[in-house]
Amino acid sequence: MTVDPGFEAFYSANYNRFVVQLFAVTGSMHDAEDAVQEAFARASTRWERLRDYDAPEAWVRRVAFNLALNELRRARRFVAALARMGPPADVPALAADDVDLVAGLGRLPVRHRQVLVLHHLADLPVEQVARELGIPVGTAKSRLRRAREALARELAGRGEVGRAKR
Amino acid sequence: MPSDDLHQRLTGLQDRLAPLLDAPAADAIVRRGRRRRARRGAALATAAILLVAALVVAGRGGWPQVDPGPQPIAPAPPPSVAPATTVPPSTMPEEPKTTSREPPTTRTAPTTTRPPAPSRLVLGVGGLGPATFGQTPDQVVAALRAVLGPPDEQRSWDQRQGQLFGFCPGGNHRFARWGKLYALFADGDTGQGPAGRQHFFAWYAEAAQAGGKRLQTAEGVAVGDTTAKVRTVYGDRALIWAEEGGLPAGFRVPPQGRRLFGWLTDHRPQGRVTTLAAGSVCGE
Repeated sequence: MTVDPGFEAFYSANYNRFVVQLFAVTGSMHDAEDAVQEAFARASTRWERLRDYDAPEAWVRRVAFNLALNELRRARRFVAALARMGPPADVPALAADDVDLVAGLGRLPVRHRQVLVLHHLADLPVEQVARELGIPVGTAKSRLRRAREALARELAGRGEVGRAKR
Repeated sequence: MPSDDLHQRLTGLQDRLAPLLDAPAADAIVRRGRRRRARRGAALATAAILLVAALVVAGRGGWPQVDPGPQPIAPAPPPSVAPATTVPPSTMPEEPKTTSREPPTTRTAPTTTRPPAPSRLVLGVGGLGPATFGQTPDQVVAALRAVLGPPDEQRSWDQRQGQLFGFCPGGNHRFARWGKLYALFADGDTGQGPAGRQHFFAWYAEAAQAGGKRLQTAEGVAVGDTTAKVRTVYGDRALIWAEEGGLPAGFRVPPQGRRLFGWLTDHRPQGRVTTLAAGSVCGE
């Protein structure tokens, strides 16, 4: 099969970054990979148009985020999660600090994870974060501030909260 | 861009993790996109054929037993009323849903008396009230219709995409929905019914009410109840876990055998039940 070289380069340059960003939001490497692959699959069928966009990666990221967050919000993948009862086997080994970081993110509301990931991982300025999320810049700023505070609290308070037996 | 500690840790996650990932080959992604487009094309074609068929049938005089007016389907009557009706088993239409084809003419033939519908539906580890795992979709929908009224939605979903409910056994899946109560059907080997025949294999509830009835377990637990109540009601039989790695807090009762599952906003006493479920779980 012939793959458009432009799409292949675009895909290679962004796939891993997007998966990590989605992983930080969903906490599930499997869900992150699935959402990003689906978003790129959709992009591949529209590449003729997308390649002329100023930032086709924004389109793919938005589709991937929507796919992943819809599932999160609707909690309809709970059965899969129940079957798994733990991190999927194909997650690369993470350093202890990263495990804490991802767990801390996972305890934040999704809207907080989104702004943190877009601003810090995707390296987007607040104005672009606001555009991608469809919210006013002021809202994005205050949300980012609250998210940072909440994550800092989570990371500082790790281990203080008792865990139920598993 | 910020350069503080938090920023360093977040960007560090990307720097450390991204190189460890193996991206699928680009042509595999392109093939996935083409398959998706082909499936959508086929679905649209099927919908068009169904629409044309419906128009043709309508042009020949309409469906034989459908009332001519745009009469809405009435919900199940309240418990205090003894409706003199016989409600036929429903069918599971293909997408798009076709509830308007229900044969309301049967409602005008008062020949039998149905007992008053109960005020609640028991969310059981073996099924939903009168509907038990393993039954056919028609049996389940008919049984639940008598309690909850007609379903709000009945349709199939493409489990190959892992959408809605994740990947489940078998090749053909569908669900019936009353508000936020879902009954799931599959034709594969789910452990709840015979492979090759579509059967009821799981349910889940995201609300405490549907069709005007309270949805609760046999022990009285419903969506919205506190984690403290779950602990009180189920005691040591409930295995409760905290949110971790993006998976929400939850519980299951009992730890072995037929299980009731639940999701919680928090594993601590003030947490609330957001979802209840039972049956065969689907895997990735």
